[in-house]
Amino acid sequence: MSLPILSQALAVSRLSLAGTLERPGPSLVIVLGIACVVAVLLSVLSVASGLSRAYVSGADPRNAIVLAAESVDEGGSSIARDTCEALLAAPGISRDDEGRAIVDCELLLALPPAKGFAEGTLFLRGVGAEASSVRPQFKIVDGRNFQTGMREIIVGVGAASVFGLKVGDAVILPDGAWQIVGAFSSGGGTLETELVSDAATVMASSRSDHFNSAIVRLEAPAAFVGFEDWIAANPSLPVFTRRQEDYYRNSAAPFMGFFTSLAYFVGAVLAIGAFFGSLNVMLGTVRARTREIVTLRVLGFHPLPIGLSVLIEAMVLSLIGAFIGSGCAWLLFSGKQSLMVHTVFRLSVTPYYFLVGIGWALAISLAGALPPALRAVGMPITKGMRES
Amino acid sequence: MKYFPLVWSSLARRPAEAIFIWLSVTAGFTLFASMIGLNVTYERAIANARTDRLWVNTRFFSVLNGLPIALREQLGMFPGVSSVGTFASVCGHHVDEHHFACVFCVDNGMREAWPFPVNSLQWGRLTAVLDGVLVSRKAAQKWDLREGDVFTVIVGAGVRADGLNGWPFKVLAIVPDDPEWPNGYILGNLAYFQNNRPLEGQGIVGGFRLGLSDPAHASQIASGIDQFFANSGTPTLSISARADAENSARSSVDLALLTALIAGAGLFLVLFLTANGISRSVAERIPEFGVLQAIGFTNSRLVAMVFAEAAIPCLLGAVLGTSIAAALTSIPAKMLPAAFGVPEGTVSLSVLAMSLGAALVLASVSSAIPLMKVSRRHPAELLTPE
Repeated sequence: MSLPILSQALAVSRLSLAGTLERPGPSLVIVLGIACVVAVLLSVLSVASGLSRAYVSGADPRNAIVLAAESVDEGGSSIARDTCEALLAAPGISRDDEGRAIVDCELLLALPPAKGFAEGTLFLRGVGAEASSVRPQFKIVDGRNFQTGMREIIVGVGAASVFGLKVGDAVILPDGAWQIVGAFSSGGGTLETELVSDAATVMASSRSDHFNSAIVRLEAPAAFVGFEDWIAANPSLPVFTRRQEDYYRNSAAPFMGFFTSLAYFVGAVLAIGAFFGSLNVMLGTVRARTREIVTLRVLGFHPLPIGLSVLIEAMVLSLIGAFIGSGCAWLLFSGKQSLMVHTVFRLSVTPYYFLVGIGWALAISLAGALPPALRAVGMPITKGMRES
Repeated sequence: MKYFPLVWSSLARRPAEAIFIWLSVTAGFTLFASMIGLNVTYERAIANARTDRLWVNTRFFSVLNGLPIALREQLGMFPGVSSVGTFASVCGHHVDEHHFACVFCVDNGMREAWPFPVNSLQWGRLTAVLDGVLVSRKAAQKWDLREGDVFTVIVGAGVRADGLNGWPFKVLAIVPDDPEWPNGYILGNLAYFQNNRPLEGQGIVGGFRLGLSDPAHASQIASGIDQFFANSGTPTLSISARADAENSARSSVDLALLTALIAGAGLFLVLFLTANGISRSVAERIPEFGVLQAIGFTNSRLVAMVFAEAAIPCLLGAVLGTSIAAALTSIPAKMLPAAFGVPEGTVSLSVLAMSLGAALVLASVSSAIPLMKVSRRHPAELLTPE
């Protein structure tokens, strides 16, 4: 027998893979064990991915957000009217056709639980005249936009679908019922989870005289540094600014961190279980193939291809498991709309996560099949013949 | 019990495989117990939340609005309301912006309306020392605080009348934790908060907590209060502590669903591993079962033996897995900011009992098919070499 090692490995692997059909139980253990690990891993990662996408897709590199000094987030920030007006004089701000600086001062109002959204918090965002200028992707998809000074609201497509709100419905505010006159999309992002109306009218209704934030449209992303320096050089302005992208990324970071850590923790525990399962199955497989292995050795096959065939068998089975697990995660979760952390988003099983799942599957199977493969390589022919 | 050596010998026949199955099962039950433990924590928080207490908050919440303190007297006159406590929270960050912190400032009425586990001496010091705080053990551990330390909360602009950002509090005592506050609490003096607010904010508080004389009418009292203030300048939103706990459990993430899915995946993995192990073990010992039947072993005894063979690794795995989960309980809470509100899992005896129950069910299911193969065949058939 003078076949090269690789040809021998392929020949023996074909033999061992054909044998998996005769051992459906053990083969299924590896396939389903790995499928379980990959499905859970990708499902939890899809939450992290979807949340991240929802936050970041709402950001624009030309936008900066201004918040009250020392505030943690937009919800806890309070900016006075005069501070907001002072921002109009800052350098680097883009101007509209009429030469006005594009700065939109906005406020948030949390609405009480009501029929349809008792289990989530629905926010009403009061926006100014420049709201659509700072959000170029904003468009009305149903009905019409609100009119300033009127008790009119438009609803984000995410909020509409999750909370069951539609054009014509009424929302109760402190001064009575406001009508939903339109629905909007903004190219994803957290804004689609909110209701939007005229800031001045919302302030009058809620007897508020402060904004939560100011969204500033910069001439170019590079203008941010000058804008930030201008704010820092004005101690009378009790505010700070962040690039909108950075603000959203930082806001999502704790939740991203949690779900990513949870996914890898849960995946690791399940992987330990699958590892011992694979080890057990492959040890049993090598034992069941003892006669076949010693026969091949007697015929002149090198021990290395026999060991490789054990690894290949485990890897093929785990790849099948990885595809089943990824498929389950994709079918069950990818694209599914969810409400979490006051944000409507779509779970997302990305191609990158598919690769992560396959990587995990191969790693588990290699670790689990290595000891049995070494056992097959080191099996003395005479002992093997006696055992078989 | 007298057949235990037979069961043991079947397990010890291939010790490596038996240990690997046990370790796999342990991993599955570590996950199962961790997830069930987290659910138990939420269920306990809901069960502990009392129905004879009401939260009264502003109906439309934004950063600077709240309720006028004058509502305290009106709320106290409502039929069924036995006591009224007033609160306001000083929230910001401590040391750096990544460490969110809140001090829950209360008035003296809170002692009766919604008591904290502090003794009268500690409560007396809180009311006597304006800038004093009582810190629960968990909060003290988190912020590394001891009696006499100063805990400074950095707040946003416009929160203090003097324009400063730092709000210093003196730690008066470390007090016991309260199940309502799974991550601990810091209790401050409402008067200190009120006196240092800007003029326009003085007299505005976060809300009220009411003690009720009749918990059976909590929802009627809550809706009565909300209706009474509906047309006022400060409409209220009243909710019982129980309903609030139920809402909180679902507010950020539906962890109940998430944990159930993960726990299910863990059990699914265990099921296949044990079923395969038992199936192979039984298949390799068919003649042995034939001999046992031939010498008078009844079907039920064989069933019991095979079941025990499956149950032993499952039960041992459930015990070890639950113990490991108990050691890992604090990890999810440490991974998240406090605002997320995920508490430590409760891996209690009830979780262990659930794990053991699940182990027995898994052992039954995984041994069912191999048992059917054996028990349906005649001893002569079992003894005939295939």
